[in-house]
Amino acid sequence: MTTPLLSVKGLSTAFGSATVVDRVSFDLAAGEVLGIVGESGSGKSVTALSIMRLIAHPGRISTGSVHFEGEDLLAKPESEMRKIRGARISMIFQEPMTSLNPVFTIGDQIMETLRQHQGMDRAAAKRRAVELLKLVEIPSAERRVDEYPHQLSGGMRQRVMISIALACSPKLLIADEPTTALDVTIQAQILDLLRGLQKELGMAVILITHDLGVVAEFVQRVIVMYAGRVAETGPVGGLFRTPQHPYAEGLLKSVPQLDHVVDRLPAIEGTIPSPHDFPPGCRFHPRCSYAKAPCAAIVPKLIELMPEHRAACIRHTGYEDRQ
Amino acid sequence: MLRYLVYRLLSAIPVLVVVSLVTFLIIFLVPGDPASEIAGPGASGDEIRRIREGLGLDRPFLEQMIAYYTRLAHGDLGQSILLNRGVAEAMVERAPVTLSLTAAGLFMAIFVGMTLGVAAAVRQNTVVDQTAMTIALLGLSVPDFWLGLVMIYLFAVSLGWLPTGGFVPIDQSFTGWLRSMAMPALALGLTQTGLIARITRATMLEVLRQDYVRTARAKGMPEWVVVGKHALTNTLIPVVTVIGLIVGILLGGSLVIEQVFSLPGVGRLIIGAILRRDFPVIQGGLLLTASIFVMVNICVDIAYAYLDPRVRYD
Ligand SMILES: Nc1ncnc2c1ncn2[C@@H]1O[C@H](COP(=O)(O)OP(=O)(O)O)[C@@H](O)[C@H]1O
Ligand code: SF4
Ligand SMILES: [Mg+2]
Repeated sequence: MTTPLLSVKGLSTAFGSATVVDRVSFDLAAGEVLGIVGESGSGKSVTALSIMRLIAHPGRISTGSVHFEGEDLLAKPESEMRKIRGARISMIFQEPMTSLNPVFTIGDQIMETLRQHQGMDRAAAKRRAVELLKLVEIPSAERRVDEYPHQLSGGMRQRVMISIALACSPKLLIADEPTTALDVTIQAQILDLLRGLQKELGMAVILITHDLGVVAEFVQRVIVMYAGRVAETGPVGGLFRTPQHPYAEGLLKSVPQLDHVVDRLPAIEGTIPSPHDFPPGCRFHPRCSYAKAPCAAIVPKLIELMPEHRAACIRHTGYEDRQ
Repeated sequence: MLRYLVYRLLSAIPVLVVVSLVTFLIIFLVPGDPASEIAGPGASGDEIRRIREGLGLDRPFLEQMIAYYTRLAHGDLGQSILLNRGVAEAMVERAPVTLSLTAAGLFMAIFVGMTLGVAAAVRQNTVVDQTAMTIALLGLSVPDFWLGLVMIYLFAVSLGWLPTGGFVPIDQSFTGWLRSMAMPALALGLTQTGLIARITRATMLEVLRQDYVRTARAKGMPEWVVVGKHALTNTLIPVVTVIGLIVGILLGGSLVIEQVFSLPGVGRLIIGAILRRDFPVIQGGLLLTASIFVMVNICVDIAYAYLDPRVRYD
């Protein structure tokens, strides 16, 4: 097997005494599209920011490793890391309304990346900025390039964020809930755009979302996170057809189906616990309808139940702690 | 932007009209007869009459007002009663001192205050932060005249490094000007330095939490660009708005500081005029400081619009 583009092993990130990302591991091949799903607060953003090494004080990556194109990112000095951010790994965020700096033109904010990483002069960077705006299908790009963020709609701003992220042709794009803050129709447009660009440019994408519906048509593989841990991971088809973790099962039940209309979607009972009082054993057990006594004592390991399809649930091992 | 500029300039007119009207009315607000007030106790009836006629107080109110505005329109601020010369002339002669002092105090407040504030925010909860905020608090709590006196004692009387007072025009000797301005500017600007340091720190901390700062980091921008470009520009917006107010406070403060350092500025002229009821000089001083204040605030608004495109494009 060739070395993966990105390899995350046993990654844990803590804010003070609260470990909000707990030993997360996954690999990502070049050009692959991976979805990370889970309710709000399950540690998706912190995982992404940890890969970028953008966790701010008092947060701290406590254990694990992140290898990108064979290089150990966590061992790199900050100056080296800066050359990777925005150039080889890019990230876009949930809030297009606030993610652009209000006092600089969008052209300036695109050009800045190009000049920083590729040493372009102003004129070349400006030409490229217009090209990038066209790439993300912003109409009248020549005029828009000199406008300020407040003159653009949320959807347009997210397109600008995407153009900044793609400016230096990254190998990996991390999209953290890129459509959550947008109207439904705009959501679909942005997802179509991302999907088209991924095909065209062949970069790997990590698509983070709390909405399984968003994932289905875009990604090849899914990681389901719950309370900072990986609950289940597998190819999108298999995971959707036969979810193995009760949490994934619950999430799937709450996705609206096109073929049959229901009055109310069944949601998973209860709420995600706060990092300061994660329950012992399986962190999902207070909400799990399959839970039995051992679930509160044993921390389930990921076990391979089908090819490439793993779940962290001891129900599959007769409620015993074995592989 | 042009429309905004024109609008802003036009909106200064009503302010100046009110100020000039208040200035004109001052003389009528004095309890009793202004002419005998000016002449002082024990003045003869002749003297009082001469002053009354000199000021035109014997004529009808409306006529006085028309005469006043006609004079103003010609840039004539009238004659000083005691100095025996034109008010405008006396003001122009002394303006460089006050303007130097205010500008130096303002420069120090902005430059030192922002440096302290940014350093404190970037190094939040460290020794740097604590030191900067201690300096700011000291600046805010120490009275300016007291600081002036202490500095005179220390640096002029004891150490002899700087002159105890007096003014050297900048076109005569730059170092002389700098030496004459150093202590007064420090005394005048210290309070405002503390104020700007605290506003800058609070704003900067807020700005550093914003999503666009995270975006700048995610783009791989070096920290000095993240702080110096992305965060600082946004921090400047609220700081600039208080600069207009600070100029007003500094102009007022220069009255006291000019006394402490025996600087021949407009402030001393006005204080002298108030003590001796030299109304034309009081009026001229009021008009001058109010006009400067209005002008500075127009500049501030323009700077604000320049910094914040959301204002500029409205
Ligand atoms: N800066 C921070 N300080 C303290 N706790 C944080 C911080 N950022 C995230 N967390 C905590 O980490 C947990 C995971 O957050 P996050 O990764 O943002 O969740 P998600 O993206 O899956 O919605 C949450 O419980 C959140 O409260
Ligand atoms: S380990 Fe137990 S509690 Fe956890 S998901 Fe499986 S059955 Fe539910
Ligand atoms: Mg998130």
